[in-house]
Amino acid sequence: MNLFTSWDVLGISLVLSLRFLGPFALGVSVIAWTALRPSRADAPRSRRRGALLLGVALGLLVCLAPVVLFLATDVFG
Amino acid sequence: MRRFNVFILGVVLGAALLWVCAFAGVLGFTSVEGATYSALLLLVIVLADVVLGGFLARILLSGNSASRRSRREARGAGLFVGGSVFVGAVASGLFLGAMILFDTPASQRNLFVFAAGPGLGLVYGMVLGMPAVVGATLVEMRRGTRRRGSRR
Repeated sequence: MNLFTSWDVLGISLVLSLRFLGPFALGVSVIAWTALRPSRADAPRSRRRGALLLGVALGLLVCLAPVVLFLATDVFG
Repeated sequence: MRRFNVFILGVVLGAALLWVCAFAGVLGFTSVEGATYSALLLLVIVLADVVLGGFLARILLSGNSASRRSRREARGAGLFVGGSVFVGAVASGLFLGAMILFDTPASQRNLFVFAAGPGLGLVYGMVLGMPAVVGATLVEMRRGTRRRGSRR
């Protein structure tokens, strides 16, 4: 197969990959940022814990959004 | 010199990740199981992007002296690494645009033929650049915190 004629398969696959890649990139970034950023030593422990839980929950929600949407369209669509 | 090497590594990383994403997407065409593997592979790619962004920042910041210039350079390490990944993905998008352009007869070339490749490159640059920025900035911040902590 000639390389220059395979652009259609690669292009369509790139566009379709974005449906998962975009939410995954945002979700993983949010989780990594909230879980691994160095926190200030004087910040209250309960507040740090709350921010961590909120960030991880939000990140997981964003990561799972395309999967949930696919299942929903499969069931209701 | 180290800064230039890290930039080249980031560009190569961004370009390679775009093509890996393309082939992961092709895997999704095969079957339902293939689509599941493809989605999992894309998740692994994003995780690897965060880790490699942090790794590049670590290379950039390793052996940094306490001079004012190196401290100023170290402050922008996250954006520098993310920017180099962005440039790599855009370069791959331009190559894809060339593939599309050379395979389309001159009479059928329209705006979409010219814009598809660079447009995909820009979008992938943003999507792949963001996790790399996060990974590199985390390393940058942690090193800054450690250095401040050791100074006390």
